[in-house]
Formats: sequence, C-alpha cells, structure tokens
Amino acid sequence: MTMLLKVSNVDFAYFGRKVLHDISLSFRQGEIVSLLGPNGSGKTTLLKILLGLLTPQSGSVHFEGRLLKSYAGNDLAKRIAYVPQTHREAFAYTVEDVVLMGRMPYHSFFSTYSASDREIAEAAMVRLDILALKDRAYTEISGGERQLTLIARSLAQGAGVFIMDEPVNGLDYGNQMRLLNDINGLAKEGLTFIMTTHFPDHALMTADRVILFKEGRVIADGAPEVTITRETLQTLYRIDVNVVAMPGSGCTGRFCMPVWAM
Amino acid sequence: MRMKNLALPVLAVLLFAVILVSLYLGKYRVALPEICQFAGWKILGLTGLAEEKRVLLANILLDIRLPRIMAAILIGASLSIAGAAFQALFINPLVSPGLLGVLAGASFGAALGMICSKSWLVVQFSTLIFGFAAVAVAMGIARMFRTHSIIMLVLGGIISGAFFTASLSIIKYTADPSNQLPAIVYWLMGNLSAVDGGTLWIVSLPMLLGIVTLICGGGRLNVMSMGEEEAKSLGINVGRVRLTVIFLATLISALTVVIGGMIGWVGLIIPHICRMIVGPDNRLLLPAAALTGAIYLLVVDDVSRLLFNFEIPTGIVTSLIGIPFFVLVLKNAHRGWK
Repeated sequence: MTMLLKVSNVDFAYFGRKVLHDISLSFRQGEIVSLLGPNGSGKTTLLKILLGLLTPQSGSVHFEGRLLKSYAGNDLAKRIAYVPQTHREAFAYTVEDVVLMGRMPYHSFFSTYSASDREIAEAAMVRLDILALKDRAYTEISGGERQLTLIARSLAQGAGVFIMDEPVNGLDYGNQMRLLNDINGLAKEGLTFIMTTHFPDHALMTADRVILFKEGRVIADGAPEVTITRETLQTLYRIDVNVVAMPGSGCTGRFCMPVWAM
Repeated sequence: MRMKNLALPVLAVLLFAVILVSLYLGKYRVALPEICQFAGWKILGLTGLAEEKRVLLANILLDIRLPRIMAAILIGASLSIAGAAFQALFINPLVSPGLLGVLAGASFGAALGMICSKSWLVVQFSTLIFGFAAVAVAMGIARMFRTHSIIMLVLGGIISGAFFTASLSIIKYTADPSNQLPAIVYWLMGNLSAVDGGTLWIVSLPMLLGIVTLICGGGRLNVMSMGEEEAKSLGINVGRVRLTVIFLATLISALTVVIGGMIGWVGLIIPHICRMIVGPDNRLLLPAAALTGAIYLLVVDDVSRLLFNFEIPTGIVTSLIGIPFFVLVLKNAHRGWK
C-alpha cells in the first residue's frame, strides 16, 4: 500500500496555546481512519492541517511524496476534499448547485460549469441516492441529506481523500447508520476517509484504524479492536466502559457498553 | 426551473422598453412619430424630418434625456450588483454596498472637493479617492487585529463609515452656508439632473468592466458564501477573490456617487427581490440584479422628474419607495434565505 499522507513531528499552537505536540502519522490509500478523543484534544486541528487550512509551526506534511504546502489551492482541492460539519447556510442554494461547487477547482475565474461538470455532479448524486433532491433547497432538506449532499460534492470534486469533521453530528440513528454504510462502500472503491468522531462504537463499526488523541498527543494508533479497550476509554473519557464482543463474531463485532448500564 | 431560464431575457426586453418610454417621457412633449422619424434619420439616414426639428430632437433626446437614462442604468446596475456581491461575500443577505464605508467616504470626498475647489473634476476625483480611502481604512482596522475574519472587516467598515460621516459633518459645519452648504446637501440627496455626457462616457467604461467581471465571478461567490474554510478546501484563493470583489464593488459604488450623489436603498432591496425571483445562485442572481436595478432606477428617475412640476432628488424617492418595500420583502422573505 502506498503512503498517501504523511505528518512528521508536527507542533501547532493557537496564539501561543499549544494544541498539538510532536504528531507523526501516516495514512494509506483506501483506509478509513477514525480520530477519537475528548473535546479540545486536537483532532479537528489535525484535520485542518491535513487540509492545508492551518500551517503547523514546526514539522511537515507530505501528500503523495510532495510537501502539502507546495500544492496550489485548486490542485489540492482535486485530491483532498473537506466534508465539514453540517450547518445551516445563509442562502438557499439547490442541492445541485452545492454539488456543482465541487467542480470549482477545475475552472478559472472566467470559465463556467460545462455539460460534463453537470454529468459528474449528477453521477455523484446518483451514487449517494440523492438525485431526487436535485432541485430542493439545501437549507430545507434534513441534516442527513445535507451531509450526503456535501459528500456528493466531494465526489464531484474528484478527490481521493475525504476529510470529515464529525460526519454523523446531529443526525438521527437511522441516518447515522446509513451514512457510515455509505462511507464503507466508498472506501471499498479506493477512497480514503479520515474523520473525527465522538462515538467509539462508530469507529469499531467502520474504521480500519483508530487514532486516539488526548491533550494534543497521540496515545494509541492501530486496529480498532486493539486501540479501543476499557483501559484506553478510561484514559480518554474518564468513564468505565466495557468493550464487549458479539458472541461468535470473532474480533469484528464489538461494541461499547458503560459499566453502569450492565 | 423554466421561469429562471426566462428571467434574464425578460428583464433585458423590459429594460429596453423602459429605455424607450423614458426617451419619450419628458416636460417637452415629443410626438411618437417624430421619435420614429428621428431614429430613422439617425440610424438609416432617412430624410423625413426638417433640419431645425432634427437639431431640436437631437438636443432633447441625445443630449438631455439619453445621458440621464444611461446614468440611471449604470447607477442602478452598479449598486444592485455591488450589493448582491457583498451579500454573498459577507454571507449575509442584509448587507448593502456601503458596508465597508465606501459611500460615506465618497460623500465626504465630494463635500471636501466642493469646499476646496471650484473645479468639478477635482470634486469627482476627491469622491472616488475618498470612497477607496474609507474601504482601505476599514480593511486596515481589520488587519490590525491580525485576523482575516469577516466579522472584523464588518466592524472595520462600521468604524470607517462612522468616521467619514462625522468628518462630513465637520465639512458641512465649516462650509459657507449661503452657497456651499446647499450644494453639498443637494448633492448628497442624490439626483441625476446634473449628469453630464462627458463624465458619463469616462466612468461608464470602468463601471461596465466592474459589472461584467463581478458577473463572471458569480460561481466563485457561491462558493465564498459557504464559508472561508469550505471555499479554501474547494480550491478558491479566498484572500484574492475577496480582495478582487471588494475592489470592484468599491470602484463601481464610488463611481455611482461621482455621477449622481448618494442613491440609497437600491443596493439592498434589488438583490433581495431578485433572489426571490431567480434564487440565490449568484451566476444568475448577479446579472438579474444588474438588469433589475437598472430598470428600477430608471423608472424611479422618470417618476422623480415627472411626478410634480419641479424635480424631486432621485435619492429621496429611492429611499421613500425602498423603505416600505423592504418591510414587505422581509415579511415574505422565507424562501430566498433563512
């Protein structure tokens, strides 16, 4: 497997307050990586560094063997896509308009979307089963549909790496599970997902690899069944949680159950 | 969907019709056949019109009415498109072109020019320069706080606008009350009666250039209105696009003050109305706003020069119509934005 993204000895501080300490990580193509950790542990900051939105004070980030900051903005956008947390927008663009925005990196200031851009956008909407929402206002669809729209936009962008900030945030249980299933399917096609989450269960379900963050440091990095344990969850969240294996499922079917609920 | 596609052609035809009607309307009655004959002579070289009648019509239609019509079109289109562009850039549908202080600065510049010089050229230059100066002050204040966030820019604009408004008061206070002060006050009311053809030709080029460039940037403005980080992750050079849009909007807004003084409310309500008709997509919204703004100001200017025996400053009429209209717009504005 090829090394896609490589973070070496990265430190980051906001106005002198250090939030990442000497982070070194690498990401391979086709992986689903979950970043797990309490609020303020530096997960989102790392995502923004991977996107080139923040520049670390020291250390380096390489993408496909080249320094990340040496990429032009639109070149990077063709390779790495950002799926932000869902939020309400000021303007009611249609779902199609939002998905079409993914084609922006392919255009100069004066050029406009072509017929092939529309086809690509449509294919992305078909892939995520939201074509019926095409003409609906992005502000008036549900949170789950908005998240799918943003993922469709990233597909239209043609990027191989999807960086997602708490993708299931604010979604109901059904939409959470459908979204995780969609992400699973896309990863099987070779896309790489790096996402933050607050749910160890979701990491157990979908991730190939889990990275645990605490106070700006990586405390564990590996397969979910190795990293998500009673001890690590105790360290991260200071609660007592049992990680239970489904009987007869080997090490794949695992879930978390707080001790007080057992 | 179909209605949206029809919007631009319909608006263009409407604008053309309003131009013809505005040419026809006026204190001096020109018969419709005469206008046709005059057009026939001017365009096709037909000789159905007596020589002295030609001179008279050329004077009324081409020297008096046409420049004023062009001024209304340019000002209406510029303010509307600057407003729409700012609304996308600042992710706020309640923003007007004066957000960063350009109109306050330009007004101050005009007043300063009037008390310092008799030359109209100096007044016009001073208007343009102080329009830009006010925006530069706003951006400088935002930069002082070492952030590039939109909110600091807005605050910078409020501070800069307040500063130039206060400075304008100082100028008014020190101006000679018998002739300078009335001239300043009259100018700030905004009117198109003093438009001269020569100035118009010179400023129309940068204005058209600004309008067309902003329209081309519509797709990018859509992305900008999703927020700075998203726009960056979609490959937009946020700093450069922001600077370009602010520069162009400032240029065309300041030039509207150069031509016609302060014309209020157009830049806020027209983009609103257009967003309700064609939706928020800036690729369609910007040209629609330009056309609608042109039509609106042309009609308002016709009203202000014909309604009474004397002319009312156009800026007063736009405000008087704009304010109640805005209340109506807000009442059923649930579709275009929330």
